[in-house]
Amino acid sequence: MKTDADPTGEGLNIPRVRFRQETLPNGLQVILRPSQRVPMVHISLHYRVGSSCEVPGLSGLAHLFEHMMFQGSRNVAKNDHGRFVDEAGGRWNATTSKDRTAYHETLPSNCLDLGLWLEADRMNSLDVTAENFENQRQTVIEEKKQSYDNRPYGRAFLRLDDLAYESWEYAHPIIGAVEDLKRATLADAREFHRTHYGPGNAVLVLSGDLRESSALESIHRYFGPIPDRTRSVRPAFREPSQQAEKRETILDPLAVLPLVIMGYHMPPVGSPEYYALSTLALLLTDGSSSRLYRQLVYERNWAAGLSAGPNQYRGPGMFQIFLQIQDGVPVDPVLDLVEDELGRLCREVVTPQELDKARNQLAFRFVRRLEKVSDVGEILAHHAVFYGDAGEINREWSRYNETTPQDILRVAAETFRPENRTLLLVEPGRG
Amino acid sequence: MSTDQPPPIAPLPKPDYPRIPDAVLGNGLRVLAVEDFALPKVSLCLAWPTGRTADSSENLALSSLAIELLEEGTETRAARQIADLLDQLAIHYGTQVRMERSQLTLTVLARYLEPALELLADLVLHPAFPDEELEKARNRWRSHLLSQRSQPAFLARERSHAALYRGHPYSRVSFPVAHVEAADRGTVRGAHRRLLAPKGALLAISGAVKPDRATRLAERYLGCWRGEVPRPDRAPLPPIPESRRVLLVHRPHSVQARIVVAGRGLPRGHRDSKPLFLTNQILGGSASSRLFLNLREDKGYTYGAYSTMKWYRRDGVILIGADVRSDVAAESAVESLNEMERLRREPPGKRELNRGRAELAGRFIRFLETSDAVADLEVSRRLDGLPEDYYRNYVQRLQRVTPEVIRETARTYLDPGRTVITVVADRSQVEKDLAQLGPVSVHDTDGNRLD
Repeated sequence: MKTDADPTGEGLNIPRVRFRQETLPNGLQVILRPSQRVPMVHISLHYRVGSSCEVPGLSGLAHLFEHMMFQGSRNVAKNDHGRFVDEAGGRWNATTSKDRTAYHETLPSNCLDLGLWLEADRMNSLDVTAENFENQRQTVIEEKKQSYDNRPYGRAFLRLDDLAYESWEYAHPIIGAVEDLKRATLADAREFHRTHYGPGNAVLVLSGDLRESSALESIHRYFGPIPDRTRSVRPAFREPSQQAEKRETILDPLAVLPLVIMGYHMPPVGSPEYYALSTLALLLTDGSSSRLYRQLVYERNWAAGLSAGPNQYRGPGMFQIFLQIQDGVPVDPVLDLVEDELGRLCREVVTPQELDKARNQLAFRFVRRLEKVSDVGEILAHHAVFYGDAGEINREWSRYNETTPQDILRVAAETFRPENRTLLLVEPGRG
Repeated sequence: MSTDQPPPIAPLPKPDYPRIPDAVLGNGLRVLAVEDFALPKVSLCLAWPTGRTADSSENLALSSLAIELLEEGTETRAARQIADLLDQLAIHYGTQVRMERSQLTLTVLARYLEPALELLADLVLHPAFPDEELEKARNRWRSHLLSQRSQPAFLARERSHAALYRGHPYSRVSFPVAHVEAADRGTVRGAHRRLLAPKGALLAISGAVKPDRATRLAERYLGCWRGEVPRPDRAPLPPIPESRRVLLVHRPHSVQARIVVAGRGLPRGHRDSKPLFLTNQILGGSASSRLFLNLREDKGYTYGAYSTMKWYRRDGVILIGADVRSDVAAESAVESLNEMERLRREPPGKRELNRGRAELAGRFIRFLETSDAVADLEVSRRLDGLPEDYYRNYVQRLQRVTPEVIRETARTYLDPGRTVITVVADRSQVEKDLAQLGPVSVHDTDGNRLD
């Protein structure tokens, strides 16, 4: 084959992300990343609050509250947040995870101030009526049905953390229990805003077509006067080392093929183990030459689909493997094969060729994630919240490169222990 | 400046749709180049103007199998070697067969462009279609087609298309397992020979490569390829339904109802397509549109309700869809029809129309952010035979649509009386209520009539 490829994976140039950081006197952390390729700017506002900050009896409140942020604030009527952004030709949304709640707008750059004004107004004040609260409670209950209850494997996805984690903070689902959603009151929502929503508990990232000085001026104007009254506390996870395997079978009337989910407890994102296990995940299931894909999908046709990787939680992490089993294939030989492969990772160092392959795949991802101002903005915000330093975005590549075959061997042996495993089996059928 | 009032909304910047150079190789393959050196990556998209509609009705799986199996062996490379090479060079490889378009895409770090193009040429020019790989593909399709039938959105789309197009190739949103079983090496190879030819196809190369180098490389690796893409099928379109139909797909144990109100639309090249696109946007194109505000923000029936348009080369479809509480499935369908009716009665306000325009223009501008997306727009423009200035004047054309034009467009093309309403739910929870919409035909998830 004629090729100009460099199969050693050396000399891969990953572009650096240049940005500027500043913290306002009220504690708001600000990150600016100018790039003038397109006349658009992405505003990303991450609050350091997710479902792990909830209290028992009020599960789902962080996410329900995310809906409240579109229901009105002092100067913005219900639904007007989205309407203003839409009228400017922008895009907006929000997501809630276990560890953070993220709001974003992508706007034409001449409407940057509009986006900042909207976010500042709802950070500063909330103006939700009882009727609107009730309406969003119903909406979230329908969201739960659409995303989980009416979807194949949906209940299993909710059950996995519940089974694997001892810490209630991560064990309970983000969407919450319906009885808790029904129990939540408007007063709970207001209290949630007071406790967690303020400049001292947030990271604001602007990415795209912006001038640093005028953007900072606008940020000071809109966010500067907001006092910080938050009392948000990061949950103290008590996740004891797992001493015996946990195993459960779920019958799912909506599923047509069995699904196996495996979870192995692991250290949090950003740890050396995280980089070793992320690399190892590429070798296991990424691409049709990967170890498990080749054996389970390609050669034996035992699996219809598979994936693996760390669960991306800020606290105690979990390495997850998902395997959708082909119709009529018994589960036990599939499990044996996966165990054999994980055992091999604990005994034999990965080959230099496999490691080069993983590095090429990582380099590709690192380049690709810099294409859009929205992606860059979200990644910077993610790093600021999860690692406490957005600059980690430029050190990540070397963290992966510093991971040696011996590191992978050691971390595999520490992680893939039978007693460290949670196994959830979903079988089609009625329970 | 007061912070009580919103800062003014400035007019959208003028989008800068790039000039995209092209060249035609001796074999008829047209090569497009979208130059962008911002990042060290390149994408290759080899696209044909044929999709599911180009399959013969005896076997609708052949074009999908032919494209999928390219990666499973060539005359000189086994499937395993191809997989190794793709992963070793981190080539992001994908195939797609849509209604009227098929394509291979390879995205790669710029340093691996040439080996990626060499591989692409080998896959397309010298596929081997080994029997054992075909058998594996059959197995993968079996489970994929089975899983598809557990998804409410798929079931609703399938039934809507079947009712709107009654046997016409545009009714094909998938294909039966039996067709996968019946395919053999000879028929798959036949589909490859017939459909995957250079003359009539496009190769878009986008990213960190100069246009003249892109053309040179295409000539080097694909210049010896021969053949012509067949003329498209011109089967006459069935007439638009004269009256409303109500279909229920019984999906046992559903805890929600998927409702879809579907009507026939327009092809993208039609002179009324822009006004219709904008009319649809006001009806249900975003979370600020009428359907969403009604069904979610006012009533709390659903997590989201949207109206989307499917563009085919000779026709189009409007699909209004939402996953709603089962006990309000019928009422949600009635509300959707009412919203269609309301647009026919009165023109939208100026602010609402401006919002619809801004949403579409803003989405278009965001699209221009990556060279891959620009290449994709240009490929679709050319495959669909749209004028050269179609995207250059995209935003200006939206500006010309007035409130009265929206009302007239709704009156002409949004007729609640000529829609197909499909509800995917557990019949025990919805059947009685649905009767208020008209006679209900009940199907199982395989499409068989149950009533």
